[in-house]
Amino acid sequence: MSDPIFQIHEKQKRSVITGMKHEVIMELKHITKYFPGVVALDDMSFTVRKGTVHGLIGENGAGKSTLIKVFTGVNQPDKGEIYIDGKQVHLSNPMASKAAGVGCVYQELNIIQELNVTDNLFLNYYMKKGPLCDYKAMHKRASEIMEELGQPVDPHTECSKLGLGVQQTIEIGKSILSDARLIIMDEPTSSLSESEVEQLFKTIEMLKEKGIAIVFVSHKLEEIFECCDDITVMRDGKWISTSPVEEMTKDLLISHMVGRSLENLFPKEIAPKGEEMLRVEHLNSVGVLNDISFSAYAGQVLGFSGLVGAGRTETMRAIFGADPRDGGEVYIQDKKVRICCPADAIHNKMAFLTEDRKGEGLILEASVLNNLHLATIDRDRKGLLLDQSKHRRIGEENIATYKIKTPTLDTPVGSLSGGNQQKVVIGKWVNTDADIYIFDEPTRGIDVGAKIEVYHVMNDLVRKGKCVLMVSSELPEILGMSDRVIVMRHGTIMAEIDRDTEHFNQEDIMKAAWGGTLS
Amino acid sequence: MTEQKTAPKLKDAISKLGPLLALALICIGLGIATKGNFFSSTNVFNLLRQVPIVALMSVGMLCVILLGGIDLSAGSLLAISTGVTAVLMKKFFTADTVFNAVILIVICLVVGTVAGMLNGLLLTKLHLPHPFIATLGTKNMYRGITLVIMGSASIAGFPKGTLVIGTAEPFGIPLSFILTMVVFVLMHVFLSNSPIGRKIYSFGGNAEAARLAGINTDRVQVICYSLSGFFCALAGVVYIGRLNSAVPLASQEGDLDAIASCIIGGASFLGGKGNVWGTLIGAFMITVIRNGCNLMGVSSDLQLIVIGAIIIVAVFVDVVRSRMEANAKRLAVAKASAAA
Repeated sequence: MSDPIFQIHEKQKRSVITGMKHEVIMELKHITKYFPGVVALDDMSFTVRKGTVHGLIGENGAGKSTLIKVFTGVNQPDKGEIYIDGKQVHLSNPMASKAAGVGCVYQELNIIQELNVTDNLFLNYYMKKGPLCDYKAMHKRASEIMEELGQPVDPHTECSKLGLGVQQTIEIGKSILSDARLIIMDEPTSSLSESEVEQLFKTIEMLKEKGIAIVFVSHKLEEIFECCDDITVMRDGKWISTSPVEEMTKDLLISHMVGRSLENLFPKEIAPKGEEMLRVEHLNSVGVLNDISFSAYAGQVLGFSGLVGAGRTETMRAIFGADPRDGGEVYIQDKKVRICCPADAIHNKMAFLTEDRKGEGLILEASVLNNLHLATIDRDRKGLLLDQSKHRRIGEENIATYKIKTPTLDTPVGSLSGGNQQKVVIGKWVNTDADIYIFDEPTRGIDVGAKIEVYHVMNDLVRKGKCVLMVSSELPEILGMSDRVIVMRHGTIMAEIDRDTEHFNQEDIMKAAWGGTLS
Repeated sequence: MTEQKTAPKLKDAISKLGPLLALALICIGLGIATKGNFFSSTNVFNLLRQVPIVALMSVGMLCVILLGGIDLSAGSLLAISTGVTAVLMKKFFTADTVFNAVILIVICLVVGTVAGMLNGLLLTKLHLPHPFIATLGTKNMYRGITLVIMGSASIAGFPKGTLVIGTAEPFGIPLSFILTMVVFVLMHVFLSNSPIGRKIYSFGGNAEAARLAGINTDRVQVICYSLSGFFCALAGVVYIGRLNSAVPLASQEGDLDAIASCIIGGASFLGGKGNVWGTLIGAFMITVIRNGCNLMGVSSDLQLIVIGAIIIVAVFVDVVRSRMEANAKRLAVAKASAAA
């Protein structure tokens, strides 16, 4: 059945047909994987060629993460075969995968912050001199590798002092050290700044030249087109399409991903501008925020743009009382309010959807129902106890309104896909019936379909005369959904741009974010 | 539809009955080993008298463990609340009146609650990094204070009314056991169905998400540590009744027994997971093993080894069971998709 010679013939045949110059390094065939409640991978096939970047794209829950885990030996497929260099292999655990030449840079970096660069690079694979670690040799090799990858750093530096871009390079370096010939990068740009992304692309080019193949998993279509040679689209655990990047268009890609074509990624509706809802005056936080003052109006989405670390999230956390501040007043409907903890903010009808969904927004092992009522535990009571039937009724309504895909209300929220988890967080806050909604990176890491549903929620809110503050690092989103944009840099407001002015464009916002002035 | 709903419920029941089954097996084993002595009515009633102290301390400990915390001072809390009560009794309330009896019980409960609250305040106001530290400190302090004020000697001579909870046996059933059952039912409702109960589970599941959802997390923590203190003091009232005196070195192993009961009963050390009925079974398990060992004349040194092993085995069984459940679910999907 699985005669390796036959496999090679088949591959060569296909290479000739499609004109592929590069030989195949790894091939997954008819992979099927079952998880409790779902078929995560359904007859999925995937081929990676040497020295190329292969983009893997699909909505959340499409099975990308599971496929990565098959590559890395974390999950074993229930059906299907894996070939490396034409030979069938069994990646029964992460060690076997590593030995077979597969490396992986996860979205959440596995860097031990307290250790230095060398210790992280050589973790568990120390170079030895007799029974002891040969630090002299390791430091030398570490600085060579970091230099080669375009991030020259002192290998003695503690990793907590390094930026995320450098830390990610250390992860890549780990793969190089284990002689990886295939490196998987899972959402590698999600927490990088623009310049760090550029550096990453340079590093990727260099890896390609060395003949290393890369599987590039990303949500950002622009990046996929910028750096990939081939693109494979997945949907519902199934293979949908594979084609060279030249033959793919953005529209085609999106329609493959969602299974239908999307007319408009940003269904923005303009609502009438209402009264001033929120006014922030002279907000200060030493070393973080510098005299932040702005107003937000009912019926409007106020966007906050800027580079990573510009102080947007910090501003929101300070307003909401999540972090202490060193000065500044907050007025709601022209009345001064005292907010020193999140409970005060919620009492004043504010809601805060945080950027870190799993760490700050949800209780993963608790049920969908309990998460939906997390911010309203005290409200619906029957005497001293909770009004369970009312809770369930509201929960059912939430599921219908936000199209949350969950088997039951009692399912742990951690088992849902990212987009559905985000809808639960949104439901939690809308249930508080707040007037001012802070959405911090509301569509980070969720699929296109769920993104559009989040935008519809924002439209609904402003139509009802609510006020929305949206922090986003994606410029198209800022331009697509905001009525007004505040651009921040180094904890200071650089510019305020209305939707109907000439500066409301990508170039001018970037210019302000980099410290330029708008004429 | 109905089938789908009942099937998980049945499974739930079975998985909940698992620990109960283990308890039954241990009882039967001890019954055989002691040639039936274990099941003699005298011994069964002995058990019902022995369970309440461990069980009451465990239910307080459960509140703290659900937070992801720990209360190492539980045994000392029992000692200090009974100790202070005994000293005040000697000074002011020696007369055998109902009023004195009631006031002493109230004093005991108040002292325990306040001492427990202090644990919570140390944690939340001084921002000590982990409850392990705060309660390790107070564990020693409370025990020391107890020894000092009692002059390192036990104190007897309580009014009869104070002893009632630990001694009365209406219809032949120990009052302390009835009280324990009532407490467990109330705590079940409190934890699963009251706003504070929900907040406790939420805090244990993700403290930061709970805080940002407007939950006053400091208050929730202080409440839980106070509850632990309260239930240790209630156990103390039973203790006074059973011994007819307060002992400064009482319940030295109490905190570890209470923690063990919660863990055996399936509570997660990381917080957010656990329930009162599991804890009750855990408390029974520890009491039954102690009792059985005593019947068989096993030395207290060996008992330590047995209890330690039981804790490890119980948690291991739980780990294996949840792995098997996950696997079974996975195979069910494979079957369903193959059929489709």
